[in-house]
Amino acid sequence: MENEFDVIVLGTGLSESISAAALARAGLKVAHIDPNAYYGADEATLTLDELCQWADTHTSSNFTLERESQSIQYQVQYRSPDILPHSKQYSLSLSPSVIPSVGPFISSLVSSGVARYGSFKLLGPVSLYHDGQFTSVPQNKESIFQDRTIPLIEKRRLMRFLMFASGDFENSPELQGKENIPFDEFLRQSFSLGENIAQVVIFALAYCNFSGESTLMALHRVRSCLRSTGRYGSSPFLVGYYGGSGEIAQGFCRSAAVNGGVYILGRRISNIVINEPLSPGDHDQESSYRYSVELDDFPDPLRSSCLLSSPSHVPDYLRLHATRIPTSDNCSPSASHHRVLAMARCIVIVDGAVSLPRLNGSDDVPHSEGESDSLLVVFPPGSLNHGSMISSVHVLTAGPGTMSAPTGKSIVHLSMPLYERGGSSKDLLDPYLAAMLSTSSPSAKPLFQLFYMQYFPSTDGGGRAGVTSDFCVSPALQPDIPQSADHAAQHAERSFWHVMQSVRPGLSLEKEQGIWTNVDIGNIGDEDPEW
Amino acid sequence: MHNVKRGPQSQAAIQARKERERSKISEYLALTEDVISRKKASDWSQEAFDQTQHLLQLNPEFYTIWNYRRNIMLNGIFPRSTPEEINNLLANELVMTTTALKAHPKVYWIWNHRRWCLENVPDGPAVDDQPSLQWRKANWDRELAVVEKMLDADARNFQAWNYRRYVLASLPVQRPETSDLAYTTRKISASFSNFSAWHQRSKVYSSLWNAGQLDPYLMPTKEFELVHNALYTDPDDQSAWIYHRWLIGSGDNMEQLQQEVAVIEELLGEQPDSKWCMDSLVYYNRLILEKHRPGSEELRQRCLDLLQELANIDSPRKLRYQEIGGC
Repeated sequence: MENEFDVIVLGTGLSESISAAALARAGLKVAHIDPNAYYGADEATLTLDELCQWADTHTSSNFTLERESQSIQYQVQYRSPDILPHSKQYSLSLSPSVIPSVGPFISSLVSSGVARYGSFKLLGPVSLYHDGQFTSVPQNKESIFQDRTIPLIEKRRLMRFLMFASGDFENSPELQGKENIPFDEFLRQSFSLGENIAQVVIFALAYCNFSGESTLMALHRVRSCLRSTGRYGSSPFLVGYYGGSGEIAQGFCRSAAVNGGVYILGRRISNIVINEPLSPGDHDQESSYRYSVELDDFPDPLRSSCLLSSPSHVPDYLRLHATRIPTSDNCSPSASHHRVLAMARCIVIVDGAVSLPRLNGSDDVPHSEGESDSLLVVFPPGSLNHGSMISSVHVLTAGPGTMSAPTGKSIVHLSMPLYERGGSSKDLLDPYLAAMLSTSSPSAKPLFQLFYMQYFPSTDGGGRAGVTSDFCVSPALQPDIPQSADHAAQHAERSFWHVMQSVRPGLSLEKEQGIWTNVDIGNIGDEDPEW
Repeated sequence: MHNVKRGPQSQAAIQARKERERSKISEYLALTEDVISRKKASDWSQEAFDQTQHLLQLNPEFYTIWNYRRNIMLNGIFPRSTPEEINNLLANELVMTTTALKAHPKVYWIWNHRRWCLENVPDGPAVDDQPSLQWRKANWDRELAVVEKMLDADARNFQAWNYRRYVLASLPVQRPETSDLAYTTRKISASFSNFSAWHQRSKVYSSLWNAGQLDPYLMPTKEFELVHNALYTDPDDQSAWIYHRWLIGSGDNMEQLQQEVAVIEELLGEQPDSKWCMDSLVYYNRLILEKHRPGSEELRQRCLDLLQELANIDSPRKLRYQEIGGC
């Protein structure tokens, strides 16, 4: 029957879209639903007019924080009144991120074939703000050699640390007993790194949100950053065209659709019913489809034997019934006591390009990879007057180079992670915006500004954990410019296996093959029969 | 090829392959015989010229045929061609050999052929009734671009570096040496583990020094600074150490020697297992002992301590350290 599926996926966020594509490719009948009229959910990429519409539905006046909610909530605190011309030429991401060149996300992009749907380019140099200036972040031997602002002894120590961090440090003597001490202490004790260099490592190689994050987790992040350098160029990250995240989520949805997935956008989920088997008077008694999802303005409910949902789309009345899929220890936000409860964000469109003077590269050396308008800047805690003393602020720019803005315009995304909810994103981020715009010459002028607060659930929600179930909730995705793409891919992989176990329990699948092999026989034609 | 399984081949398949190869072998042998007999007969015709091209495409290392080809050009084609036709022919040769180089980048005979072609480009074209150097300049400039492209692809191809020196020397209009310095700086910055780049740098400096164009104080200071950056970033990289030895030279400058010893001692303090640090310290301290402070017991003892340590960490070369210690 047309309305019966193996799995219904709720929410077209990045993680769910990857899962849907993998499940469809594995031969399941997938229906993918999103109440929004656009793909991507919390990672969506919107045009300027779509963003303004979105902002209008989330303004301060109609906002009350629901403390127990499992959804990500938004509170728009300031919006420039006028919409700019050519508004459809802007691709603005609600969760800007970069793609590590080595990692589960890029592997998924390649193995699924979704990489072919989009274009990518290298992120430009990463800069760190220090003492009123923007300095390049040394990522490898060559850039350390060229950087004349680092004293010789520090170069040696930093190189020694980088060699350590890019290898297998888990059982190393330097780390024993120190896995949970604050990272800056570890760098000082075990590698005698000075404060300036330690800041670079903590905030621009490990991309920590706050000072004092623990060593082992930070080391993992440094290692994945170092291992990504050099694959496509000196930068460890790629950026997607057309605003990145939402475009890529859409690509995965397209892949799911190509494999038979059914998509329904823009319809609110009015009800989800669990059909207990053998309930009296139920004329679908023969049907083994347990879940019934009803949508507004949609004639018949959709039925499936399994549900996969993002945390935001689980109705409250079913919260206890659903099973949370656990994250691995490495990326679990609740493992550390530095849980991010909110993020101050802003999206600014400026006239002209945002360029940063390169201060410590050698003058003899031309910038061989061409000027990129995609830049990542880190403001460590305490680096800016009137800025935050505890949070690290990330700035990601985008421009015509990635088709994210029309010629002559640039987009600046700022984000500041917060321990506590409350406050004005405009007050918090204005000093950083001013620092970014004052360095370009002539000073880039802001044409449009949107300031908002993003609130994350304070708990992991109720529900059972770890039990095989047919109602799975994917782990919450914390926005994190360098990491969220890989986290989304990891969450998607776990969700895939949970759903597969539920829907095809008898099927034995090799987990080493990954989630993109075709389970259905029939697609082995590309292998050459003759070696 | 690695990791490619060879399927079990049937007798028939093996036979078929041998047949195909046999015909290729006989084709090759027939072609070779044809060309060699033409050569013996001093055949300078266009047909002979074309045959050499076929043969060289199959086997670019057959240097006799390259020689023959050049002789055909000299004896058969050039005498009946205008300078412009000669220029075009040689330009063609360069294009053909560029393609051959992409497949065989290290075959000496192809490089040789290019040299010969470049050296035989006639003066021209005529400008204001006088033969200009434009053809030559254009070909040599293009040659420099080709070799620099090869160096971009593999910055440690020492044949290419050598060839580049030859091209620079042959340019009709010489480039300033300072621009060459900048080129080596670029290559070293891209990867300082590049012995050829450091070596080229030393050659540029030598020639600038001989021409009296170097500041005797400023240049060494800046160069030591540059090499210190390399040493501290990676003390295991030997190209930088060898350049450092060249900078020290004969060791006549005592102040310089002492400064450098201090720098290296500091590095050794940071990286106590660095073999190169210890080895260099022994070398430089011995220079000091020899040239400036012959009686110093302190320096002598330092050398012996270092040599002992070296014998421990680099036991394959134990005897060498013991021998140095003995004298």
